[in-house]
Amino acid sequence: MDHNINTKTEEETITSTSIHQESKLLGSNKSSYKQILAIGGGKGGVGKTLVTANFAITLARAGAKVTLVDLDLGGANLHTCLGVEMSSRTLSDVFSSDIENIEDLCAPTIVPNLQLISGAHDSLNAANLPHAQKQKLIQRLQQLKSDYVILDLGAGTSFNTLDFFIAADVGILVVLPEPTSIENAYRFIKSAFYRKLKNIEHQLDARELVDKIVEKKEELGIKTPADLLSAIENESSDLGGKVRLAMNEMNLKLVVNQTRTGTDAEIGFGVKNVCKKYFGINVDYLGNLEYDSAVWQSVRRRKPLAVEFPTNPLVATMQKMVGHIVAEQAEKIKNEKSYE
Amino acid sequence: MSNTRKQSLYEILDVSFNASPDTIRHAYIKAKNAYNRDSLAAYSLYSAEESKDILSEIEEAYTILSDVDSRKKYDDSHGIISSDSYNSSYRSSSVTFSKNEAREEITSASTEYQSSSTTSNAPTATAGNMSHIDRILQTQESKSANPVMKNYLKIESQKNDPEMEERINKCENVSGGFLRSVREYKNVTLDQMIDILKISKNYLTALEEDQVEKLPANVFVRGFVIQYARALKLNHEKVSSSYMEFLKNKRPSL
Ligand SMILES: Nc1ncnc2c1ncn2[C@@H]1O[C@H](COP(=O)(O)OP(=O)(O)O)[C@@H](O)[C@H]1O
Ligand SMILES: [Mg+2]
Repeated sequence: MDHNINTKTEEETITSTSIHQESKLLGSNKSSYKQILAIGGGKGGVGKTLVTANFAITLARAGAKVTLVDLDLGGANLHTCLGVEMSSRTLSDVFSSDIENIEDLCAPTIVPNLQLISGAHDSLNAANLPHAQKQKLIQRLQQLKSDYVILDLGAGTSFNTLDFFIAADVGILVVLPEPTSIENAYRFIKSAFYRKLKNIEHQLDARELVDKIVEKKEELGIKTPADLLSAIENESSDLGGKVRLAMNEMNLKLVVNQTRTGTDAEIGFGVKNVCKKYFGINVDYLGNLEYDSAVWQSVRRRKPLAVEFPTNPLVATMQKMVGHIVAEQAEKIKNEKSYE
Repeated sequence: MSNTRKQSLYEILDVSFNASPDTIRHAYIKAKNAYNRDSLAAYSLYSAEESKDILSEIEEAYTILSDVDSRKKYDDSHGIISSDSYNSSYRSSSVTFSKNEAREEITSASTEYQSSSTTSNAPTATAGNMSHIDRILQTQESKSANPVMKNYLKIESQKNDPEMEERINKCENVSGGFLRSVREYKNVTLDQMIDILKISKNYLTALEEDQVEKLPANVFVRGFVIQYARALKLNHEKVSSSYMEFLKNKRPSL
C-alpha cells in the first residue's frame, strides 16, 4: 500500500462550517447511557450482518431496547432474518415531511425489545446521500429512544459510510482471515482516519498546523498516519494529544470471522499490533468467530443464529464480545459521573 | 520509520512498565507474529525491509526486558522500579494498566455467560433503564475482582471543594504541582502513589515539585503521568497532553 499522507480529499467541496456543525453534532453532548454501534469495514460476505443481528439480539435479551438500522442498502437482508414484512416505509421516509417521528419507521421483529429500520428496496442511495440529508439522518438516529442503535453499514468506504462509522460510539470491523479482507480493513481504517482528522481539524482549529506538517512530510520523515500524529504532537503536545484522543474516540473493535485454525484467530492480534504502530490508534481485538456450518444453516432458514441455535458456541462467544463492549460503556458512565 | 518520537522498550512491545515476565513473553510472541514474513497483518502496510527493521527492534526490546538483570538496569536508568523488586504479595495483585491485558482476560475467560436466551419472557425495556448493563456485567464481574483493582477504585475524592472539582474536570495547565494537589485532595499518600505506579521516589518527587531537570526522557515522563492520572481517575489523555506541553516549555531541549 502506498504511504500516501494526504488530508485533502474531494470532500473539500463541503464548506468548513457544515463540517464544523456536523462534528459538533456527531461528537459531544450525548450521554454514554445511549450507545451507537456501527458495523462495517469489509467487503460483502465477511459476516457483518451475522455480527450485527446477534449482537443486537444479545443486548435485547438482556433487557435493553435496541434499534437495528440496515444501511446496507444494496444487500439489505436483516428484515428477512428478523421476520419483518417488507414495510411500506423505508429509510428515505426520514426526509419526507409527513414523518414527524423517526420511531414511526421502526418495525417490530420476532425478538422482543428489538426493532428494525430497514433500508431494503429503498430508493435512497447511501453512497450519494447529500450532506444535509446525511446530517439529518444521523441526527434522527441519535434521537431514537433506544439504549442501543446498531448500524449495519454494508460494504464500501464512501464518505457517507465513513461518516456513519465515525458518528458511532463504537466502530466494529469484521474481517476474514484472508489477505484481501485484511487489506480492505486497512483501507477502511485509513479512510476513516483521514475523514476523522478532517473533522477535528475544523473542530480544534488545527488545520493550519496539520497542513504545515503535511507539506514538510518528506523532511520530517513522515511515512505513516502514526508518524503524522507524532509530528503534530511534536509541534504542540496539547493539540497533538487532543487529536490522538479524538482518533481513539472512534473506539475501533475488531472481529475475525470464519476462523478455522488457531493461526487464523491470532491474526487479530497481529492486526491490532500493526494498527497501533501504523495508524497510532488502538484497535481492540474482540476475538474470533469460528467457521461453523450452523451459520449458513440459520441463514438458509432465514433466522438469526441466536434464535435458531441459541446454544451454538458462536452465540456464547458473541455474548462475551458484547459483554466487553458493555463493560467499557459502564466504565465510561462511571467516569462521567465522577466528573460531574 | 520516522524519528519523530522515540519509543520506550515497553512501548515497542505494547506492555505496561510493570508487566510480568509472562505478559512480556506473550506480547513478544504476538508482536513477532504480526511482522513475520508470512503474516497477513503487516505485508500490505510495511515492506519486507521495514518489517525486518521492526522485527529487530522487537527482538532488542525482548532481549533486554526478558532478562531480569538487563531489565532492572534499563528500569533503574529510567526511573522505573523493577518488577522483581516488588514483594511477592504485591506482585500477585499488581494493578494492570494495560488495556491489552484486561482484554485478553475477557476473551479467554472460561466462565460461561449466563445467557437469558432460554428464558421465554424477556424483560421489557424502556430506554434509559440501566438494568441490562448490570445484567450483562454480573457475569463478567468475577473477572475484574482483582484485589488491588478494588483498592485502586476506592480512591475517591471527598467532593467538597467545587473549585478543585472544576480544575480536575478541566485538566488545563497541568503541572506536577497540580498533580500533587489532586493527589492530596484525593487523600492518596506519596507512598501509596509509589506503590501504585512503581516508579522511584526521586522521580515522583521531582515530578510533583516540578524539578523538571531531574526527570528522565520525555517518553518515560509521559508514561508516568498517564499512570499517575489513571491512578487518580483523571482523564489521562487530557492530563498527559497538557502536562507534556508544560514540560516542553520548561525543558525545551529534550
Ligand atoms: N462464522 C461463520 N461460519 C460459517 N459461515 C459463515 C460465518 N459467518 C458468515 N458466514 C457465511 O457468510 C455469509 C455472509 O455473511 P453476512 O453476515 O451476510 O456477511 P455480510 O453482511 O458482511 O455481507 C453468510 O450467509 C454465511 O453463510
Ligand atoms: Mg450484510
